[in-house]
Amino acid sequence: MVFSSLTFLCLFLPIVIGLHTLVKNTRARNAILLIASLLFYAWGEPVWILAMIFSTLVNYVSARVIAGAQSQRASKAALIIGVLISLSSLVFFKYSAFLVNSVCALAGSSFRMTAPKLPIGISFYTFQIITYTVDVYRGEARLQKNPFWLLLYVSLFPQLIAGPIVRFKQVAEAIEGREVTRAGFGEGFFRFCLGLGKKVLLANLCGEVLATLPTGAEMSCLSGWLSAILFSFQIFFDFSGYSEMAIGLGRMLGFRFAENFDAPFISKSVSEFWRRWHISLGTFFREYVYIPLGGNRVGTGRWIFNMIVVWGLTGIWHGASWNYLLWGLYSGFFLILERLVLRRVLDKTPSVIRHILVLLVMVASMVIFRNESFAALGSQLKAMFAPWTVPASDPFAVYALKSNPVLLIACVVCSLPLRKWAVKKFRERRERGKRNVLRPYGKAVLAVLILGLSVMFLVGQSFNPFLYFRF
Amino acid sequence: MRKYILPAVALIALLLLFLVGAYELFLTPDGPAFSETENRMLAERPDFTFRDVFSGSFSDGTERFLSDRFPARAGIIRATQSLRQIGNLASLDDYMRVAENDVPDMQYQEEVSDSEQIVTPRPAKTAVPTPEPTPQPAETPIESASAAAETPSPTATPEPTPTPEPTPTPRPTKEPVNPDDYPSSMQCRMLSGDGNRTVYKGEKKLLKKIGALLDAYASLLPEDGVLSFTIVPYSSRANRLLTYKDPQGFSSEVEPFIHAITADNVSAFCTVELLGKPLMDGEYVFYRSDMHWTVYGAYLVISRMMEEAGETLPPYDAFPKEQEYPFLGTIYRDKPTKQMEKNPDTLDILTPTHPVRVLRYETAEQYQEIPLLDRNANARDRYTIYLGGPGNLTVIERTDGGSGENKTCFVLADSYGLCTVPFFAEAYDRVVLYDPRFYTKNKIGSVSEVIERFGVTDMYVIVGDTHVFFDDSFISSCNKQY
Repeated sequence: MVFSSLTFLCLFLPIVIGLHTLVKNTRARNAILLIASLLFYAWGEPVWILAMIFSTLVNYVSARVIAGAQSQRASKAALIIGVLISLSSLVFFKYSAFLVNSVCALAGSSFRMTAPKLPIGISFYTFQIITYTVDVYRGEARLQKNPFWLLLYVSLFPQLIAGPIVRFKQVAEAIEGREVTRAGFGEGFFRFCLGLGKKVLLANLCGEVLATLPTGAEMSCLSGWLSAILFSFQIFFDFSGYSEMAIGLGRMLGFRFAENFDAPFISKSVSEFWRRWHISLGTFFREYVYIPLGGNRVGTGRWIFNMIVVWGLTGIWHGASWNYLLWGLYSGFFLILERLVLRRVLDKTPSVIRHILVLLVMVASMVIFRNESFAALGSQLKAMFAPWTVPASDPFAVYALKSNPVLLIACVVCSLPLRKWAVKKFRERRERGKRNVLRPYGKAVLAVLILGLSVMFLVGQSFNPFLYFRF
Repeated sequence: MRKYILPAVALIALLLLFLVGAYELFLTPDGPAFSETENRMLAERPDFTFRDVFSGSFSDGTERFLSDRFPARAGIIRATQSLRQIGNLASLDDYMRVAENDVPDMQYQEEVSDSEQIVTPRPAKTAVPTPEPTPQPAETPIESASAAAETPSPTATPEPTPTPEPTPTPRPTKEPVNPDDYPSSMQCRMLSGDGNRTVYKGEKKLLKKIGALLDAYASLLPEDGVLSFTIVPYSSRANRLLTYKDPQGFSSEVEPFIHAITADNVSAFCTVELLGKPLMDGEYVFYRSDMHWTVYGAYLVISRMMEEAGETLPPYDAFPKEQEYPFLGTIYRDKPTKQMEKNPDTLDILTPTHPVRVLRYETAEQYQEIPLLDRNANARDRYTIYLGGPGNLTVIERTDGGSGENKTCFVLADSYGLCTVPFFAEAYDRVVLYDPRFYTKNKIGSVSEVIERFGVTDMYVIVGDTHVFFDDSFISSCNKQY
């Protein structure tokens, strides 16, 4: 089930929130949430729920062994076994066909393996459960003795299929006991509506316009750029919208999830962009891969190696295809370049130029991300960066541009940190002793307006793909 | 007070959403419903079976059902369409340029599922279907209609000395061709002094698939039965020819290829070639504000196709005719502009010269009589005045006794076939109209059974280019329903 569906909005959400609000006992609330989360996951693909339960059980046992181990060696062995089993499940479902087919292609064999069906959200829940086992091993998280509560952590429906990647220690206390306050509930509802609007009113519409534009060799310079910009907006609003809905739902249920996006398009450097984009994934790779490899407290050569490993993994995490690996390495390359070569130059460059450069680098990276075929990737990059080789425009791009100015303006405006600015402004007013009389009314009106519009656009809208399902 | 507002609004919004969901789930009436705005059947309540739940089709079906049966859905869709028009700066010319360049070009999918396997022709027939030995019960209209057509009247006296039948002219045999000699992709082009432009194009694999389907249908016809096939282009693409310098007409490789690779009793006609000269002569063969051909354009093509089957249509002016003006069709519906409002179309409304009745079947046993012309047709799509738009199997039959020859034609068509009904009903005693988009095989039976039951003598396949080349679901539906 996805949040931006009528089944979720009209049936699942009201029933679960209603039951959760009516019941005050934490154990009963957890039971409701666990059943609801398993139903949420099983709604589309009931069979794969077993893979998730299996992964949870393996790590539950690993963590118990780690906690009860008499020696460091036994503890480490339990950790490695738990992590390896979880990762092998991910590798089998997500990468086996890619690996086998790549090897066969290299060996000149015509054999091609059909990819197994990918369980929804496997990349997210695998990483989550790994953080639990590793954190228990490191002594950063306490052992969860109740396997059902551990399953609740893994399967918690707000963040189950598209993140953010929540670490066990962030929610452990809330699982043991939480309070849903009026303010938290209202704020959660507001954030949920904002996220829903981003997904339904911006990401989906960008996707619709994108689908009308030419692809491959038929691209003009205008359609090449427009496709790249629209796709950047689509993926940003799709994923940040989903993260915002997850954060909002968490608040409505008494959980606090960390922010996952922080207006990345206003960044003035590539490293700043990655600190603002998919923060929970960046944190995971920093904490569980980059720092164990030595981080930046190593020589330049080793640091470059660490960066290549981390960004190669980040790329391939997004999908089993060469373009994702290339996308990760491309991002890593610019981070290395920025730190080793460009930092001093950029420090002296005006902000506007830096901002434009970052946008260019990131929009080009989205082109790599989008095109799984290298031929299509080459065509689009050629259309964008060698405009003399292709027509300047085409009727489809002109029509898309002229018929969607409101959408494009809305995308630009909504990619700015408006909420942050508004919160800062209200805080300043309050500190000056002025009351923000209209604030709650404004939030209520805005939430209802966005929710109403989103439901309207969902009705009769068959085009509702969720991009991050693939990851 | 202020701190209660947002949580209270949240609770009220959730309650309202739940009430809508519960209403839809428990109080929406069962049964089929049709969306005129979208020209499709709306989703029905999904069956709750373990198989469907485990395959995920129950969840998909529930979402489709909730979406399709949402209260005031048509109004909501209109409202969202209007909202999306806010700030739209595109002109009609921009839109038409897109329509012109939106060339149907479907990439043939190599992998076809079992249900989409190409049907194979049956062995060639040598005679009309054998009449049923006993009359069928009246409660099975399809079968009884067939039986009536095929069972000799009990009062009929056999000819004492049968007169020798005139020897039919043997159908010319097509030269065998090797598909490998043809290019991998074939096109229909418009020719002009500005250069040639593609109207539609298709891969050879797809065209061979279409050829195999046509052969399969043709094998169901009697020995002298003829199958005629044509592809109708989107009107704006065809009309665009007139905007180019020195327009010279159309030329297509698609239909000649299909003609060449199919059986001897299959003929493929190129609509744009047939209508190219009338179009350039200023004749009104394609609408401006609607995606379809005009009734007159359809007449020109159908009369040529009927010649192949040995039928002759009376002149166009011989048909009882009304006109509707102004007529603003599907292009206007999608892109309403002042420019088009000032230059609307005229819709000819024709009827056959003899009385007919129209039966629309919902199952093999159930049908209802509908008017040939639906005077209450959707004001936003008056083209559907013919039969009230496309639907499940529709049978049009003469009520004046007919020609006595029991000539029955089977017309496989999408919406382009609607306005052809008066012409087929003029020449044939019975017309069986089949639109794969609305046909329910599980209720009516396979199409091959229907063709046999009605004793079909000729067949016509009239499909819009978008259905042939944009979306292979149309051809797949034909295969599945065969």
